[in-house]
Amino acid sequence: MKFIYSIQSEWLKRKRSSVSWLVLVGGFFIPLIIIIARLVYRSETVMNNSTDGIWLKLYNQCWQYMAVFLLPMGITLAASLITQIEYRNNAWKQVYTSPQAVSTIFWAKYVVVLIILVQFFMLFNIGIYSTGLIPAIIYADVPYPKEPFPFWRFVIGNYKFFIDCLPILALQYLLSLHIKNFIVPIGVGFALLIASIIGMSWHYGYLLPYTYIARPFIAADKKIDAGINTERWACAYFVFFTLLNYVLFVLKSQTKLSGLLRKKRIKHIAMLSLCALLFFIAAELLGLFGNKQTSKVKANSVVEIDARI
Amino acid sequence: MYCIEIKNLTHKFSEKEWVLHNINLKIPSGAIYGFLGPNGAGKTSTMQLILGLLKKQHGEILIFGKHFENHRIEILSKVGSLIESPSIYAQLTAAENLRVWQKLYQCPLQRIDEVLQLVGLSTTGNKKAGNFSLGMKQRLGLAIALLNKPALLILDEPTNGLDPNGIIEMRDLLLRLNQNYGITILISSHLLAEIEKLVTHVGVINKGRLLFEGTLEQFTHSQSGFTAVFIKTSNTNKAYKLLSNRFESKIQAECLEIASTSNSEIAAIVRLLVEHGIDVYEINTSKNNLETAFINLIQ
Repeated sequence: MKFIYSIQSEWLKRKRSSVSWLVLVGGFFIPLIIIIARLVYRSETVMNNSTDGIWLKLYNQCWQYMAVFLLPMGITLAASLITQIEYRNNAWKQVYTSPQAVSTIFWAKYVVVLIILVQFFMLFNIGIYSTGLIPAIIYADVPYPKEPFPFWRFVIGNYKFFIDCLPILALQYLLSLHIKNFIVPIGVGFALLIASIIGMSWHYGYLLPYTYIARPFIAADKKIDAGINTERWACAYFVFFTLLNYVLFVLKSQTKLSGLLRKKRIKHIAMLSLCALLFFIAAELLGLFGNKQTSKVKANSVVEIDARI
Repeated sequence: MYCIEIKNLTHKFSEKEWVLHNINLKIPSGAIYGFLGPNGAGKTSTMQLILGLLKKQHGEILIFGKHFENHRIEILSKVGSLIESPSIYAQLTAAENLRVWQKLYQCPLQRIDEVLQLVGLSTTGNKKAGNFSLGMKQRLGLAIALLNKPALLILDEPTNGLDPNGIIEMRDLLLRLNQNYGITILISSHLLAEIEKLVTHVGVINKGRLLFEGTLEQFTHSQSGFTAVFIKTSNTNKAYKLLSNRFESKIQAECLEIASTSNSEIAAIVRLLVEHGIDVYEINTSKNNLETAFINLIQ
């Protein structure tokens, strides 16, 4: 029960913070642009709303713009902003002197970050739903989408996108939690995203976690192998970064400010983790795991673009 | 019964940078303990060690008779603290800030109004804490520290940023909390005149070493090397000639200032003046205060 209280406490802190506004604006930004476009191109909207597959088309349109750049950057920003609530307000010391275990502090914050991501997904999907509905509400000649709303296909598609977001979230949260300077994690996140977009068409581009959200859309351009199970990789990265973050957090809180011990221990753990990650990637590159999927199925249609449905 | 007992506490930030050397503190339950020392003496580090913000390297820390590391959560649930600047979420109102901590302490909701009333912030309404003055932030920090009805209050420079009126209010509030609720208070401050009016016990630390610990009276008496007596007479020059052979004395602002250490010496001076036909109009003694005692000790 104490854990629930800690989550509630953490949830209260984000009220009126930059991260709340980011989720709200980020969730409705792309759908709003699509709505405006559909209102401007009224005759096409009349025609489209009468055709089958309208929901899938709107879903793909919204996700295509969101997945490649906006969502990874949004996650990077959100992870930094949520930890900055403590840094900026000089509140870590008060958190550590509250009657809760250090692990509770870590997991309660982490759960809140995950809930914020879920909140974004919900708002974004409400936005996508609105792109189909609002033109019909405003213009009398625009019919409501003829096709029934494919609820479960949306749920499954979102679930896959959500899994693909997790490694970015875990790594950015790790950086933001341990680096006081707001700019560093954002800069690192931006650099990794750009490097990943460039490296996406590389044969082993599936090793870059920042590419997972965008892969279904790039796969449509026939540049990469669409058969890779990125969810499996995303989960592995997520677990790895989360556990590393937890160990570093506990170590940091135990030896907080007593620089000598903290720096030594954290340096050792970070080096060991980096070696383990590099070894794991090298083993994959050398084919030691022997289970790389090399499906030659290429996506080339609207439906197949959306590998997340 | 001691509220806080520290035995042989030693701490270093690096091999060469020692912060605390073998500190032993005993803070009785119900006391207001003034922890004094110049900047960098080790006051904040000691407080951080007591609260677990620094990991203890050597020595023992007992709070409410229990080892901190084995009873961390139990102890922290009965402790309120304000270390250095207050931890305030700028985008939240005063009540919302307190709600964050109320969730963790699981105290009744009406406690929020009580502590806001107590620190004089009950009228701030929807004003964001980020727009508060430094003094208001300090009072909100104190409200957070008081939220869980603590048995022990640890305050590091709580009067920072307060105007003279705010300082007096803070002092009265702390005295009230101590007298009415029996809260033990550990307080550090640079305002020695204020501390003197507040504390029952004193600990003086300098360069990581504890130089003195005891009651306020013990401290001022232990450092009472000099007491000045100011005498206003009908003939200051004649009195000076009479007394300067026997006592260290000087004329200051038409008064005779004499360095004296005992009541019997003051009585002898008065007798001598009267015997020589000099009328005594006024006698004032300058007692040793906390400030001079503190300066004497750390020099």
